[in-house]
Amino acid sequence: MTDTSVFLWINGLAGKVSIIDEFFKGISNDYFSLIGACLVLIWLWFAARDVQNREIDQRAVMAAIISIGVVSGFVALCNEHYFRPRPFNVLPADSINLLFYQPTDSSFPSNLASVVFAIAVPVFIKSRKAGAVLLGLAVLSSFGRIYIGIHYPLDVLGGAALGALAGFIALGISWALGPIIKILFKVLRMGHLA
Amino acid sequence: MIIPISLKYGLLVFVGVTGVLQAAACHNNLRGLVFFKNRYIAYIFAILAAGGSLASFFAWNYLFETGVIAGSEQAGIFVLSAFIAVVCTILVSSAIKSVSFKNRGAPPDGLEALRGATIFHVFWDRVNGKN
Repeated sequence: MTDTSVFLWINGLAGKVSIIDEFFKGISNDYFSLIGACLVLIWLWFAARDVQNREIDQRAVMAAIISIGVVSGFVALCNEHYFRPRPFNVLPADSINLLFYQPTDSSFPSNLASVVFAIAVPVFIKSRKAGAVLLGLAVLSSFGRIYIGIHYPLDVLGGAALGALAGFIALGISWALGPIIKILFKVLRMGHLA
Repeated sequence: MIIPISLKYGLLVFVGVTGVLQAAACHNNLRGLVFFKNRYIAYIFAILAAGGSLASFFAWNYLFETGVIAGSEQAGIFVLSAFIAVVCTILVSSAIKSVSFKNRGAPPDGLEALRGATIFHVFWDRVNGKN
């Protein structure tokens, strides 16, 4: 089973039930899942009622922010050295259900999948409930990118793997920066913002 | 007047972040950050703001058919809008509740202080040597 045949199978599901098409067009656009994930991070920063849980959540938020930086570097590096055309640039037009505008950047890796997974993975490791919500959002929006016809499955899997790797690296970085992060928390707590 | 797409994006982020801040402050009983005295009204405001913003992002391609915001530009506008939303929340809640929390003692460290005072109260007390 090739990447293209899996793409054609998933994308072949599009155009049959309009409410499902609209759902994936909305959840997989360039903004919704990214903003949704960032709003979850803001909720996590402020919402925990006791100091101990809040510190765990806030450390997860910091790791997620570092992770976004790391994955942006990975994606930039990939785009520098490798260009994969989008499915609608390669496959016959009548074989694809394109439900989205035609992006011009490289198909591999999926930027959306990489960033949303980069946010979800470190949060899931530190804070399971919020992490599960973010992972659910990441999986749905990533699947949607194939469904709406702008990514191959390997683009999305590659993006998810890069995002997860960035998440683990970010956890390592935040562990290594432990003393600095402790000072940062102290300053933020003095300013009543943590 | 034509509003640039990046400004629309920034405004929607501002509304969404303000809504989430209000919801989190209500949930955590941070009365010094909440705009409304009535908890239910505060929750309704938060749901309308955050929900409305998210719904607009969900329907983005219908609402704004032309124009794409690049990833780096998105990140920059998001950080700026979120920062402005936090500052506005502090300013507005401090202004609305400037006469509340009259018999406040020395505030605890961190966000807990905002359960019984606004940020302005806490800093005012600090300047006046009360804590």
